[in-house]
Amino acid sequence: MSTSVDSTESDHLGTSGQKKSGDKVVAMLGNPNVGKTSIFNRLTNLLAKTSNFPGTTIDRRIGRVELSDKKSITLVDLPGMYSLEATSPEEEVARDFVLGQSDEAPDAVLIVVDATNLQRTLFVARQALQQSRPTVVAVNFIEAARRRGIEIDLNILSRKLGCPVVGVSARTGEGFDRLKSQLAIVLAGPALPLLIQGGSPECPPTPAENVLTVISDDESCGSCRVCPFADGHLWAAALARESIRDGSVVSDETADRVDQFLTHRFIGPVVFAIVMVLAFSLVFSFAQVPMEWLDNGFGMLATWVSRFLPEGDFQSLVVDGIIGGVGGVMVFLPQIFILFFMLAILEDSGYLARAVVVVDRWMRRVGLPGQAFVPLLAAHACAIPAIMATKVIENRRDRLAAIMVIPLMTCSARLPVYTMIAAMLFPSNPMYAAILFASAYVLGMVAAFAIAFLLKLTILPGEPSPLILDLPPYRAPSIRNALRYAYERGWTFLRDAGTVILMISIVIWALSTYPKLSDERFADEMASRSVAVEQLSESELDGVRAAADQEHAIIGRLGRVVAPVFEPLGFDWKISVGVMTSFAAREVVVSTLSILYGLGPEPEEESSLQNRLQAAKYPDGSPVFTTATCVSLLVFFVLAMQCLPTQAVTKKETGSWKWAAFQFVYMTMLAYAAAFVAYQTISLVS
Amino acid sequence: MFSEITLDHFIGTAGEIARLDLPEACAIRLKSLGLFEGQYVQLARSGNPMIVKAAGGKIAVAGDIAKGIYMRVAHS
Ligand SMILES: Nc1nc2c(ncn2[C@@H]2O[C@H](COP(=O)(O)OP(=O)(O)OP(=O)(O)O)[C@@H](O)[C@H]2O)c(=O)[nH]1
Ligand SMILES: [Mg+2]
Repeated sequence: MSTSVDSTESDHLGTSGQKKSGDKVVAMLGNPNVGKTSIFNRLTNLLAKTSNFPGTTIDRRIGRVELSDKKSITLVDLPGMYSLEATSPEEEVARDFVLGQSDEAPDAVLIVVDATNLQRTLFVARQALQQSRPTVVAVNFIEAARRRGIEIDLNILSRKLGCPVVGVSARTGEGFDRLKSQLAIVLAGPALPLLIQGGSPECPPTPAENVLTVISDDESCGSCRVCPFADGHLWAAALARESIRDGSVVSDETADRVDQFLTHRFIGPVVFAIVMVLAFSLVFSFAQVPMEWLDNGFGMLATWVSRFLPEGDFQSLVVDGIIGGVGGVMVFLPQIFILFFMLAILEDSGYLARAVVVVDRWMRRVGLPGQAFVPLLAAHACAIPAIMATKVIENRRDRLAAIMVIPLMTCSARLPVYTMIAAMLFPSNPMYAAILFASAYVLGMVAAFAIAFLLKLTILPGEPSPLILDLPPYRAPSIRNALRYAYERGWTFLRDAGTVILMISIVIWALSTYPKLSDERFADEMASRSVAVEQLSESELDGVRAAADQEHAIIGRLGRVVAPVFEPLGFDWKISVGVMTSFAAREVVVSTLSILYGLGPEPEEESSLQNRLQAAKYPDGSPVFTTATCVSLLVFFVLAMQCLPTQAVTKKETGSWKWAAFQFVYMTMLAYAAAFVAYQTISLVS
Repeated sequence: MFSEITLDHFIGTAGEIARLDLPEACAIRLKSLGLFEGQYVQLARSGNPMIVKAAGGKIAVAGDIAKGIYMRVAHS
């Protein structure tokens, strides 16, 4: 999922990433997918997202590197680009920075090329070399090239390019000491005379060369004798030929055959379906056991704590509010971790780009470009990085269409809700639970495509711009990177659970505990409802008392206000409150419900959330969570826009609140209408 | 003698690009990826999208793009 969550510079200026004034600035530049971010991470010890998909880095990143001579530099990782003639916004970011057209020009440039594909990656290197800044060229993937029998003569390359050339591998760390020392030398010394002419002062550019740096519109490739692209590519091809010592480059016939297979008219879609189903079922089956551990762990913790704390409000706050609320959401950590791990592995292998080729034709019909596939897939983990990843889509119409439908995909925050409902509907039938899960996923996707189609017919008319996609080579995915990425995302989830969800949990607990119902008021109320308190058993009395307490508390009063709105969907006032609190973040509904239904007497045996919900009854004795209510709740959560951070990102990426508001309104209306239909239909049938 | 045929109608496994007749942004993107006038390309997948190989890379292009890429063919 070509994403990087921390998109703005200021976001990820960690302690090691601080730019110290006086540090020299080195910009990294090269084709997409040549390993710039991997090198950046190794040099700076930071953890930026890398992946085998062109366009992973979408904004610049800054980090600090200690060079061997105790001096430090500021390293800037840029989005990859195919040429300095930028055609997309992210290429413009990189170009403007390298050309010094933004605020500060770099003191030196670190060009990264791919040893396994010198010819392709030297093209933009040449354009950068013409800027006549101090330059070091890093030939990355050196270990992969060696394995494939490609031996590169770095001396020839260095001579021809007129700057130091270092062979490195971001995977193994080979060559990094030399890379650092070369950077130090280049930054300390005078600018080296450049052998490639273009902009160097002592060697005024010839007219033909001049065309290489700037092409004016009317001159673009009218006659290819002076075409800068042809020139550059032919130069790169020639140089690659000269500097590769062992000519017997392994042919990539195998890759071609795999491509044929994976993008085949009929086999391609089948493989695609299998890969997707397999990936998601692996996520769920691997996550099951650790989730049970966590669930039991929190249960034990709650029992243990209640034994040590004196009974009363404080015990209730800790056990029901904090452990119940936060624990209810934290259980999903394994699922989220494994989901992100899987996505990283899939993307790193190079398969996702082939999947784009397969799905492009279908997506186009509903008005989405093939490039939107990777963000849509990433949205199954989280909509925020997915919306940011739409930057790879150049056309604004296409990009807007993708952003508008991305939050309909089932993100990991919905999983707690799905799991809760699946457990209630099919407590002892994992097979049906799995089908329910799958249906929720499919509902989200179908809704996304239907809405995209409607948008195409209405406010976003036009055809998506045709696909041009660079297919990365197949690579063995890096387990280490995937683990790091999953860890990072899991940590973000934990942090959120530890702050936002903790806070909301405490607030919900307080709102549902205070003000307290006095014994006299309780007696009065029971009398007015003509309940014969004396005839109730002790446990029944406890239950009635707890319910009365809650209805008396602030949350009960609020609940009664909003309940009529959600009544047609089959929600009681507690669910309605849960829905309201989950507009900030949808997983909160689980903690809200576990607090609202958890307060009061413990059911006899297990006190899992599922048991409590199943036991919930309306005052007339009918169960709250009927099949119709469960399905309606599920449908509502599949389709509703309940995530403030996503709204903020939509605003940022579209540049206006208008689109964020539109997204919120249409999704909420859609969710309400669909849940209404689901509830009424099922109620009628059963 | 030579004539031109668009890539989507091109038959064969390899050929030379004669010219590009596409909007500026598309053309620039193709050219930076190594698909320029005079370039020799190989076809790895026909249909829509098609996959071409050139300048050491592999590029998937939609049918609408292929319609604007003119290939050189020898007249028999
Ligand atoms: N085998 C091997 N793989 C590498 C090496 N360097 C990077 N990779 C892999 O290459 C892929 C691309 O790496 P990135 O660092 O994301 O590339 P990038 O240049 O930042 O790409 P963009 O941000 O898209 O421009 C990832 O899958 C890396 O794991 C290397 O030296 N050897
Ligand atoms: Mg990158």
